[in-house]
Amino acid sequence: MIGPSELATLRRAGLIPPARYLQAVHQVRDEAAWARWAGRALLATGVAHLLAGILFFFAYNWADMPAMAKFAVIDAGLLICVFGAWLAGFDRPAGQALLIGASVLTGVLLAVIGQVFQTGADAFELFLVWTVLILPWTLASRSAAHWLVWLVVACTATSLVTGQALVPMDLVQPEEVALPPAILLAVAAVIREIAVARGAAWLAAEWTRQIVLFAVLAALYGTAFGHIFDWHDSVLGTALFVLAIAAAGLGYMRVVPSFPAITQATGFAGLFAMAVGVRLIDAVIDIDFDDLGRSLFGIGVVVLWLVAVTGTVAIVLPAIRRRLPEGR
Amino acid sequence: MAGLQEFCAEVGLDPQAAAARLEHDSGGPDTPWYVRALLAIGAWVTAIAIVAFFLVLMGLVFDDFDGAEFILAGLGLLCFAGGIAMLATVSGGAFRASFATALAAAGSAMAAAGVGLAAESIWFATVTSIGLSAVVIARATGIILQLLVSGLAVALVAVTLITEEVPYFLDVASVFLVAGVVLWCRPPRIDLQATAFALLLMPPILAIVAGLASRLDIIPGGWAARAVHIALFGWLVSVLWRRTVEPRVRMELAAFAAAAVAVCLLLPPGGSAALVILTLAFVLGSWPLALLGTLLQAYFFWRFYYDLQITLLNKSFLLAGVGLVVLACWWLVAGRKPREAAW
Repeated sequence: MIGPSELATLRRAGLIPPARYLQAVHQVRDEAAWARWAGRALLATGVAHLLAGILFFFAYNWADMPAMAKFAVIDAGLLICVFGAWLAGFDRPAGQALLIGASVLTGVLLAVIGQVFQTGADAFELFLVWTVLILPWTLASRSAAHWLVWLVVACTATSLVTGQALVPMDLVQPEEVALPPAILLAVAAVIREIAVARGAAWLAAEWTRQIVLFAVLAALYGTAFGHIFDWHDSVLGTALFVLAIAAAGLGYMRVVPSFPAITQATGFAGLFAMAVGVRLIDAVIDIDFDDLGRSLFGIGVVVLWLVAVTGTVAIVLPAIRRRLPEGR
Repeated sequence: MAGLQEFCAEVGLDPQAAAARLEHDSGGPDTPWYVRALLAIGAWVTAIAIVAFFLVLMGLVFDDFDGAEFILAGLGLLCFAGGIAMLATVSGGAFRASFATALAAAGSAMAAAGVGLAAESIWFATVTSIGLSAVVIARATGIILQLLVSGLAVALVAVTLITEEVPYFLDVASVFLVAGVVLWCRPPRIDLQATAFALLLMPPILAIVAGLASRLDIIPGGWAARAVHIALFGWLVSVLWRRTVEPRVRMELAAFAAAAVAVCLLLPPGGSAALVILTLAFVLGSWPLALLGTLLQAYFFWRFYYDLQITLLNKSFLLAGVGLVVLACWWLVAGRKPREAAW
C-alpha cells in the first residue's frame, strides 16, 4: 500500500513528475479526515476572528458607548451563545463553538465590570473568577478546544496569583513564578491521560497531549536554565524539570507509548544537557574573553559537547522508535 | 491509501522503479518531521558556537581587524566546503553528520557576513547566502542543512527589505509565498522541501515586522500582496475543483473561494498569508503545514493587537467581519450536514 510516508520516499527519490504530484497526493490523502479537519478549521477560524473582534472592541473601551449598552451587548451575546449551544447540542461542533464563545464573553463581561465600576480588584481575582465560572461549560461541552481555552485561562490565573499574591507574601520566590502554572499543566497532563484511559474520547487527540507536555517542559526549562547559568539560585525549578523529564520518558515509553511525546522529552533533555555541559566547561576552563587562548579552547570543547549531544539524540530517537509499538 | 499498481497507473510511474525504491528504503520508518526539526535546532545551536570559535580565533591571530572581513569570508567558505565534503562521504555516523551540518551552516553564515562587511552592503551578504543555498541544494546534502542555509538566506532577504527601506516590501515578499506554494505543489526532482518551507515563512514574518514600517518611514504596500493571496487561494481551490465532479462539493468550494477573497480584502497580508498556508496544508494533507499555519494565525492576532496603523476599534470591526464571513462559509460547507463528530 502507498501512504504519505511512501509518497514522501518516492518524491525524495525524484520519481514523481512535478506535474503529477498533486494527483499523487490525492491518491494517498485521507479525504475523510481532512474534510473533517477543514470543517473544524473553518469553524475555529471564524469563531477565533469573531471573538478576537469582540475582545478588541471592548479593549478599546469606547467612551461614546454607554455602560449599560456595553453590558446589554455582552449579556445578549452570552445568552445567545448558551441558548444556541443548547439548541445545537453540546456534543456538536457548533454547540461547542458557541460554549467557547460564552466562556470568552464571560471574561469580557468581568473585564467590562472592572472598567465601568473601577472595582480595584487585582487581575488575578478576575482570572480566578473567570476560571471557576467557565468550568461547568468546559465540562459540559466535552470539547478538546474548549478544554484548551480553559487551561489557558486557568494558567494565566495561576501565574497572576503567583506573581501578585504568593510572591509578595514570600510564599514563592520571584524566580519560581513559572513553577505553579507548570505544576497545574503537569496535573492537567496526568488527568488527560487518566481520562482518555477511562474512555474520554473527546480528549484523545494527540495534539492535546503534545501541547500540554510542551507547555510543562518549556515552563520548567526556562526556570532550570536560569538556575544553571546562575541568574538565580532556586534549585526547585531544576529539580522539577529533571523529575518531569524522567516521568515523561518513563510514562510515554511504558505506560502510554507516544513517540512524539518522547521526542519532546528527549529534545528538552538534550537542551538541558547542552546548557549543563556549557556551564561545566565554563566552570572548569573559565572561559574569559580577556584570555583568548583559554576562550578558544573552552569554546572548542563546547562545540564538541554540542555535537556529542545532537549526535546522541539522533541515535537515541530512532532506537526508541523501534522499541515502541508500530504507529505510536 | 492506494495499492502500488493502482497508484503508479494513476500517477504515471514505472511500478518496478517505484517498488525498487520502496524496497531500498524499507530498512526503517521514515524520520518524522519533528525529529528533523529537533536535529535542526541542535545543529543551529552548534553552528552558533562554531561561529564564536572562529571569531575568537581571529581575535587571537589578528591584532588589527582591518581586512579581517575577507579572512572571515574565506574561513566561512572553507568551513562550508569542509562541511559539505564531510556530508558527501558515504560512511560516517550521527556525530559526524551533526558536526558537518553545523560546520557548513556556520560557514555559510560567516561567508555571508564576511562578504557583506567587505562590500559594506547587506545586499552582497544576501546574494552570497542565496548562492550558498543553491550549492547545498545542488549537492543534495540533506534536508536539515538545506533548512538552515535556506532559512538564513530567506531571513537575510527579509532583513534586507526592511533595512534598505525597500518600498512595497510586503508586495515583494508575496513573490516568495508564491514560490513556496509552487515548490510544495509541484516539487522538482531535486528535494527542495526545506527551501519551500523557508519560503512560506517569509511573507508572514515580514508582515509581522511591518509594524516597524511606521518608524522606518517606508510604504509597506500590501494591496498587490492581497491580490497575490487571492490568486493563490483561487489556484488552490481550482486544484480541489478539478478533483471532484459532485455539484455539492463544487458549491462548497465556490463558497470557500468567495470567503477567501473577502478575507484577503479585509485582513492585512500577514493574516491572509497564514490562511493561504492553512489552505495549502489541506490541499497537500500536510500536518506540519497545518501546525505552521495555526501558529502563524495565533501570532498574527497577538501582533495585530499592537499594530499602530489603525485603531483598536477599526481592528475589532475588521476581525469580526472576517469571522462572520468565515462562519457563513463554514455553515454552507459543514454546518448544514448531518451530525458530525465533535472536536
